[in-house]
Amino acid sequence: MKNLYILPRATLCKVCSGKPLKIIKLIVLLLLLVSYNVYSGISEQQQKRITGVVTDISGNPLPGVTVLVKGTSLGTTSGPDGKFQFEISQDAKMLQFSFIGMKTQEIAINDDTSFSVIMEEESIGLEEVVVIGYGSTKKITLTGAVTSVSTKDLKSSASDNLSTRLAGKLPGLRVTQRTGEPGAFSTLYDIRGFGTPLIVVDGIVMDGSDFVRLDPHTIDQISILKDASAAVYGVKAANGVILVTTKKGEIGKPKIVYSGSYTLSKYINLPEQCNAYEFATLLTQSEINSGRSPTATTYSPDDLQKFKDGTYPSTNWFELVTRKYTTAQKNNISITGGSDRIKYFSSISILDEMGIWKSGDLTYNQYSAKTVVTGKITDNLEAEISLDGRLDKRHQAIGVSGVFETMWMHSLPTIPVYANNNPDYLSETVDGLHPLAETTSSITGYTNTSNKAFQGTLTLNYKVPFVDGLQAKLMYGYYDRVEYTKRWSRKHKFYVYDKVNDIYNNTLTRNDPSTLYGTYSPFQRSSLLGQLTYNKVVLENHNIKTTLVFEQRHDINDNLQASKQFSIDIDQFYAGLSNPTVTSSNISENENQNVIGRLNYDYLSKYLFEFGFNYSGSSKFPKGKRWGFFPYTSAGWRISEEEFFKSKLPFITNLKIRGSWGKMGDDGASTFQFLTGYNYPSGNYIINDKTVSGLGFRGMPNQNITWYTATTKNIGIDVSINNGLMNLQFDLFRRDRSGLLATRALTIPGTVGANLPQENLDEDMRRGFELVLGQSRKIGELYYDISANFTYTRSQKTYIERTPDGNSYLDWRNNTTGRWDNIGWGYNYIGQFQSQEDLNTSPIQDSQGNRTLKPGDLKYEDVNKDGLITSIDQIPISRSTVPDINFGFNGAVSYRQFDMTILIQGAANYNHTRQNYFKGPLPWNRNSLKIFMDNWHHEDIYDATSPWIPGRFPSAATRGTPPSNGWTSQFWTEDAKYVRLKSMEIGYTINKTLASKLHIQDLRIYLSGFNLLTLCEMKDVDPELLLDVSYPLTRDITFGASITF
Amino acid sequence: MKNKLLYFLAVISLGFSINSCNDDRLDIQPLNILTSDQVFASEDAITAYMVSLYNAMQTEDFTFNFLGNSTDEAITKYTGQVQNIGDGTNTQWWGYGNIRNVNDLIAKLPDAKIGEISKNQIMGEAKFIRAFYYFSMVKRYGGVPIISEVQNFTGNNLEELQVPRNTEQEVYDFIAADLDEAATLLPITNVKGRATRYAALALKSRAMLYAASIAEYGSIQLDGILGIPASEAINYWQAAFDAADAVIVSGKHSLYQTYSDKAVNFQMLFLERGTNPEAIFAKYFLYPDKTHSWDRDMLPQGIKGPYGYSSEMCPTLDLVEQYEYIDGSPGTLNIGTQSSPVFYNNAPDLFLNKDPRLLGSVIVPFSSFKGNIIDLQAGLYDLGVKVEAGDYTALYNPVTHQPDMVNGTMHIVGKSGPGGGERSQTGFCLKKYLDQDLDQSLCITNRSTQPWIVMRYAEVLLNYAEAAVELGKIPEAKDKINMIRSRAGIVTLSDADITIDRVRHERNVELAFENHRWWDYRRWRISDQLLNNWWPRVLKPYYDIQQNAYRFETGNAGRYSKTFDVKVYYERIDPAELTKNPELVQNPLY
Repeated sequence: MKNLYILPRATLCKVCSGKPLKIIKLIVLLLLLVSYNVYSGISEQQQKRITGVVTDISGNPLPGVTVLVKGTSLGTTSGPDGKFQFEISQDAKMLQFSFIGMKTQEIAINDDTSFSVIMEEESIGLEEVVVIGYGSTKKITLTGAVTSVSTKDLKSSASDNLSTRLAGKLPGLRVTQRTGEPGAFSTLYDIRGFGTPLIVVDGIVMDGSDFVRLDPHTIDQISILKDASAAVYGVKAANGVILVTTKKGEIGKPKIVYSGSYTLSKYINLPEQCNAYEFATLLTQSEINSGRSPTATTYSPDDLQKFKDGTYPSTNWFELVTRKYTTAQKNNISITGGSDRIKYFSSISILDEMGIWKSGDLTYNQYSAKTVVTGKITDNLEAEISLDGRLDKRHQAIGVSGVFETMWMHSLPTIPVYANNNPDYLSETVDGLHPLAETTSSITGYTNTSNKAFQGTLTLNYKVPFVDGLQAKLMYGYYDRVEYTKRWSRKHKFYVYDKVNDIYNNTLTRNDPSTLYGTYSPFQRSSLLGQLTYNKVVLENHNIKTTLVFEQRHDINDNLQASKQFSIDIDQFYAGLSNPTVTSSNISENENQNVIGRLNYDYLSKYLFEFGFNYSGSSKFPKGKRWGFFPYTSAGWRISEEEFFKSKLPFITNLKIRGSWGKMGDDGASTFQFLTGYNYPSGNYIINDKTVSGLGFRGMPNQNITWYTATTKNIGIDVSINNGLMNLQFDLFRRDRSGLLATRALTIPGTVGANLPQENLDEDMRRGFELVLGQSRKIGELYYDISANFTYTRSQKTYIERTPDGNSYLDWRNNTTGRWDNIGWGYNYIGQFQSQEDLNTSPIQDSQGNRTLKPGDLKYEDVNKDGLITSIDQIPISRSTVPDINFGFNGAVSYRQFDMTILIQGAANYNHTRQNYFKGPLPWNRNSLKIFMDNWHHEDIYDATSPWIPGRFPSAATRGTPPSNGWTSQFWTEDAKYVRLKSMEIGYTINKTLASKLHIQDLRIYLSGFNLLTLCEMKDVDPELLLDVSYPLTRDITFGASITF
Repeated sequence: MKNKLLYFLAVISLGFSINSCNDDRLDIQPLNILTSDQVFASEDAITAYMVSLYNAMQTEDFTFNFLGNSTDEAITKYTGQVQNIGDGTNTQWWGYGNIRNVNDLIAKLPDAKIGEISKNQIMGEAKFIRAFYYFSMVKRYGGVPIISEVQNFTGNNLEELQVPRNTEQEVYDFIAADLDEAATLLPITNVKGRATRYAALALKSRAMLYAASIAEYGSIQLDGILGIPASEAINYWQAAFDAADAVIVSGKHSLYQTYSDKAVNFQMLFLERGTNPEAIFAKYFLYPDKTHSWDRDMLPQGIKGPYGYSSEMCPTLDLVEQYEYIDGSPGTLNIGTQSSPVFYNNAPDLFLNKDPRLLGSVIVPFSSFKGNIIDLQAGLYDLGVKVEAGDYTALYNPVTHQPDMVNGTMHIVGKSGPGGGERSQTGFCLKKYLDQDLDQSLCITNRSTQPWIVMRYAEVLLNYAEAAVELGKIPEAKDKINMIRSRAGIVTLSDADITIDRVRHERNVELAFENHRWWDYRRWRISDQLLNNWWPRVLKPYYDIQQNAYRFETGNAGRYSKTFDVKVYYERIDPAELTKNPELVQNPLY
């Protein structure tokens, strides 16, 4: 049996080349090993029982205090009465007591078996251990800009989507919710505005799409590396890193926790569309305004009256297809426990969510299970096996976000749902986009997506016995994800009822023939990591930590698409006609390798230094350009530890200044830019009635293409007054990137016929600051912890390789070097034309002498005074759509059995520009938003000579609406700043006595709300979403409970 | 023992790790890139190369701008839209990327490891394609730089690459030379989709006709970069005549005459998917790989496909009246006057005895297409009072003599127009190239597959006739014009009838909507006379309830007249090109 410890090298080699079977075998093997050692291990020890009680300084018993034999994971937690007891080995020397918010205590065991311990309050957060790249460190000795959030902060706020839970919690992390659709996971997040960050979960790189699907119940801690501390990740680190640590087993009796919640959601911030009367009114206005004779309008005054009084029906498509509330349910069971030899954590979650359609054809289910077993094989060797699986199922009617457009626009309120109100015949709508059909699978079909992911990780930790402080770690992770999408596009018919002859005419058939599409996308990643760590205390106060890591990662991405047409509606591939179309694309393979070194030194935890490097290789670049060296360094000085400071300013319990500098890379360039030759296939042509694929011409290659580099600098200060009465953290940061891809501007003439390849030429810079202010206090039984954070960041191009423009205006406008990025250009809106005379005397906007314009149309400033409004009259009028300022406020209060958390989040300094039919009524003569009823129109809408009645918007017109009304200007560009009560939760925990009567350890019930209240100047458009048409965000109310057995 | 084993394990694992820090693992080969050596060793790979070159030809087919809307053929369906005929940037084609690719092939082909016959044919095709590319540019911009070899940037030869424009004449001569060589190398027949000797000659006749017109009607500007000396005109007319003649005398192509019904025959000529004797060079389509959306775009609103498109080009009354009557009389429609209208019990009778090509090219009001009557009614006359409405849904109650949405029994306006939305603004819809067999539910994006005839025999006859008239060869011109007219089904002409206007007129009606007219008007330099400040006209059919018959009225179509700026005789060269190459000069007035 023991021979198995030596894994033949050949086995390992095969493992890293990504053979799943081998890995499973290996895991099974190790499971056997672990179990063997668990049984052999326990009996070898000599045990003794110890007991004790833990209280706070006022003598109140403290439940939940972790009691450990120092240096081991053997221990327990104190019970409701503060008491604890457990067995320790005879040779145990020291007990360690720890509790959140209390100073950790160590007590020598000697020969005692009974202990009475008084815990003192800690200056909050300082003892916290923070996960950093390839290790962890005490928060107090951090020298980089690292923020972390742990389980207790994540527990509240009941969204099922991990990334939305993080919004506003981590200063510097920007999270923007992009949809409320179940299972869509399109939340955007970045660190300090740097771009999509690298995500590492338990040491293994994870795709963003998997990260957002992580089950929050399995997460222990999330750290974000915002500055040079990310540089250990080398060529992938330029945008910062999000580190996730998942839960592991804990020593103690098995603890079973059930959590369940039920959520009711309602959409927010959806605009209203016109009813039939309003639509007919706007249509009439537009026809008269476009020169139609009053006798030739679509609707006569009589018709209008009948719409108004309800003689003619009006269809409210939105109410027809949407439900008032949607629901979601979540259930989780986790089991944790263990002995000093083997610990385990296991969690199973089930999530069911439902979308907005009345038909029920929008659902999302997620099942996930995770198990981690950590076992001591010998005193020095620890093995950990983690198995993590997930299955996502998503069912969508063919129409999802597009249906909102259909409802606002294509679905005229004057059209009935069914022809002649006969439910057997769908009535023909504009373009055949019928909201009821679009949202009902049984009519139009569906998209079903299943996404299966499996991750298996084996970690060996080895304390090298002969060298004190030397540890070795070997980790292998295999990740496999398969997404299969089945889209069924079903043939369906629309009818128009012919009243004269009493027949239903099938005027339109869509999706003919029915077609089934399948997309199969497998992805595999294997990661291997070897790490040596050496920690040493020299001359008592000099702490040295060194780390050396080798890491490699291999990805394979594939993709297969197939479709078949059907003559009968059986939505399975076997039933299709023999005309399959199969395509495959996105085949790609990538390899990354890293060698990482790091040295930490501190003296008395007072003077802190860190040096490190990452030597990275990426397969995306040509030989000779693959390997890069990315060094970084940081230092800190805890002034508050100095004697002079302690005596003068004793109330400042912590004052640290720190700074960091690092160089990192990004290999985001497209693959194989360095190769000449021809792409195949590319385009096609029909020769002799057959399709023949063509070659694609690759242009000139760049043999020197490589990653771009980012240099990050950060200066920060941490202040803590009176042990957490006030905490302040301030960071100034700047990132300079160089080597961004651009084409050399010494642009060769177009007649050469090929562009110069992209080279690493451009440079940019982003800088800003972050401020966090917080306070935590405990007053009697009241405990509170509040903090506010504020981030301001902007970027600019510091060098752009470009060809000067032909004229000085364009050159000024397009040469953005040295200019902040967030500038939006447009026409300078100076009001609406008030009269025909105003039109006649104003600069020409339509190159037609303003004859196409009407009073109420938008008027712009003739900036260059040439009498014409042309594109060169555009000036900077707005900021971009990305906010410069993001802020959040977190509050947590607990009093006796009650607790409450609140999260307010917001952003400022950005704009939204309305698009499409948010800019005017009747696009393509389709329906309008209700807001456009407030427009310029004639007093008698049938009389083009009657006086104009002014309104907020220009007059309605058919497609001939002057293009100038739609130009980007301040009129359509709104300030999007907002403050949102993102979440609020009130919980109640039953007291321990009641709990023990119920034979449970703990029960907490809570009520929480999400997206509760928004303050924003903009109407109709959600400031987070900034999309005119999309699935709306929802306001959620959740009731939940969590029971610990 | 156990500890030692574990120690061993750690050492091995780390040793392994460091050891495998290996550059070879980063050598990942691409799966979808072919090298030059691979390509030029295989006939199939060279065919793939040719495919890309053919595909890059600007054949101005279904996927091109709706160029008819820029002429007097048609207007856009958007009523309010200003009918401004472009600003010289609408049809840009600065195809030097493609020129580079064809030059690359021409340079590498001699060393290719394939047979001599194939090599010659491919070289012929390459020359034909290169000539086509240059012709696409010269007809837009005038003289452009002639690049006949692959240029490379070596780091210090920038000035060498900054080449000036050649003269318009030089470009036409270069095209002629390439086409002459292509004609000798190319086979007389080839598979569908690939060029033949006669494709090269037909293209030559077209290109030389253009050059001759420029010489005859244009003027020299920018030291000859634009324009050709008038003295050269005769040579180009002759070259056009000779090239067309070579196609004609070969007897390899003929006019399409499959159906006895002349209108049906003319319609089906453009829908023939098999062997079409008239198609000299065509671009083919095949679902699902290569498709277009002509049916989606052009169908009348009343029978449109499932999505919101239709009537992208509305043929004007002016075009309809350009078609003569079968007896050769002028094509003006007999509608009477407002006070004494002519009534037609059967509305399509208005077009009785019109040139059958009209009915093959245009859907006229109340004619039948794809089994549907295309309803283009503009309104009603009830008790002598005109009733109009803005939309098909409006109903009229002839009992109460009132519009009545609830109890009405008649539609006031037709489902296909006129009126708002995407309906015909002119009273007509396009028929040419519409696939009459394509199911309505398939008239959607990228579903149409009818071939586009890039060069057809009738055009060669017209090229011949035009060159002949310009050369004073009246009888020769008459013969070819009469071939066209006989096939069309209208009366033939005598020598005395043959004038340059008559030949041009024949060209206009025969080739309507084939994207010739825009370029023809330009090379004849008559766009500014015909299209500036010009109002397109609409035909409005009304149903008279008491008469139970149709009467017709005309008027201006759209809200604005069309305008044409003379600078548009040459397109604007993209200013970005000028900044990259100081040797390039811009065309006048840009």
